[in-house]
Amino acid sequence: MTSSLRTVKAAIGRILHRDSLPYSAFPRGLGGTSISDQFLYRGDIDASRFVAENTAALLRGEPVEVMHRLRFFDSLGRHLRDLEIRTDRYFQTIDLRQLKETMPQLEIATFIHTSVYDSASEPGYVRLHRGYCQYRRTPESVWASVHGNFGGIVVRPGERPDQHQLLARRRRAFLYTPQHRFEPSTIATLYFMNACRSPETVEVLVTPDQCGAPSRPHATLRIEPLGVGCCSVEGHSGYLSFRSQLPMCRPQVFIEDRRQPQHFDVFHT
Amino acid sequence: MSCYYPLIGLPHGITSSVTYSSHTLNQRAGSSRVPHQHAVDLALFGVSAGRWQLRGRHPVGAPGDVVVTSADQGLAPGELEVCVPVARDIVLEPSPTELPLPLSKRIDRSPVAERCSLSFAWRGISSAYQGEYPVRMAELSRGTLVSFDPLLQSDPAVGTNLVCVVNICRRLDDAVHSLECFDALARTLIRAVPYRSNTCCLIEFDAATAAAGPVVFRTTGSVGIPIFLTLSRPDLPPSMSVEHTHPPTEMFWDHDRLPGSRRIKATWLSAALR
Repeated sequence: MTSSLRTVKAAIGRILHRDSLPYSAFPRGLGGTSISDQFLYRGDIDASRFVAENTAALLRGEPVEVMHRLRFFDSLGRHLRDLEIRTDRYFQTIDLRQLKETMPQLEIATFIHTSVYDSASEPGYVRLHRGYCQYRRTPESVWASVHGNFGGIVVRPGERPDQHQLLARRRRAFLYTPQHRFEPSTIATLYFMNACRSPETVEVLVTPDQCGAPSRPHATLRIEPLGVGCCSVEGHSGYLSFRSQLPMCRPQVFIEDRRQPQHFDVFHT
Repeated sequence: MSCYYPLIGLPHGITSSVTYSSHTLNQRAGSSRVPHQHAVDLALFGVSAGRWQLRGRHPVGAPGDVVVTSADQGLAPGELEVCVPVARDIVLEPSPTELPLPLSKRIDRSPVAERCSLSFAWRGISSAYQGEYPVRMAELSRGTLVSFDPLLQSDPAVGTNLVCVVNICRRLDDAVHSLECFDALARTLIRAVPYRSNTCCLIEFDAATAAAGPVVFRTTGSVGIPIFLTLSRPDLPPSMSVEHTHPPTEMFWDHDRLPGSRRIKATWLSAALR
């Protein structure tokens, strides 16, 4: 099959099945940009940090100078501030303590990752930043790691901090049921982030454990673009489902056990 | 995309488990608020005497789930069994030459790979992630893997970093591969670990070795998924972390995924080591 025929077939597939595509079917003008997942910052624990990848250095196999920019938004999606780090390392661990020091009241926020290179070092591919967040419950704990989950947030050099192209698209409603059985001895905190252009609603439902039984509503969250909403579930044994028009309604989940105060588990669903 | 689910044997008293439920992961909601249910069995296959061997078959209640653990299956460190969802009425061959294809719980074109919960328990705590091993990877008898070290930890609380490279090959082969770990700057070999297909290749790094990084992992023998476990020091209260790294394709968008990934792999697979 010729490449032009393949392109046409792929385009037709995107049109026919666009309701199943998490991102815009035909995003434009992405050359020279970097696209980021949406990451979660927690200021209500001992510490958070982020591991950023230097794509140009990994492509070349040698150190290449990059400026990593982390752009933070409050829970309503309003721009808070940027953190910038210049480095030539393949991966850079960025301590988010300085955010905690300047904004001690900030309990949760979202952020995105952009990489900026000199024109001579520009990799020539559209970079996708899906880095790793790490959270520490106490100074004597190891960091609990979770990789980027979803985003499609485009940042162009020189644009204002409130200008982003959001590629995620609200679709017809999905019912998402993570394959995690919640245990009654634990407290689960679920963080839902919205990478779409429109405010979105998420219904958190307790999945029935008997055939034919209805689900039970647990919470309803309204989440602004680039914002985050959360709810807790305690003492629940079984599964949860999420009903929303988010194209990927996959919360980031923290599991705590009061009997183990130095440990928590984090994963994305 | 249907998937296999690896159950792996680990050292340090870590027990791994696979929890597989009857629920469809993602579906068009319509007016529904209850996930679609599937009455399936979860079959376990391991390798011995040069064949796959059916090691167990568990009905998954609908609604409900089934949990299988490495301890129940008696898996030694590095051993691997493959969990395969199958139709309840299917007759399984006890010693097949290739794994049966897994059943899919998809009911429409909703996005998201099919997953299960892969959990790891150690010293009374546990850490989990939603994981899978895609059939299209298991269909490859050869391949390459390049991975980096962003999840290795060297902080004072860290006792051990355990890197587990999981490889599933649907059709058995006897090939022995080698996973090389090398210093990305000095280009010096740190370790070369031999492993067979359908095992879990284990490499340990203490905090000091992890701090000396950056480390690259590579093999030209097989594909695989690296899972990083970090355990706290034995003299501290227990804490742990489990996560897998993104493959190089995830560093690029859409049409750039394959060319970008190929270039990263070419760079690091061709790196000469001292």
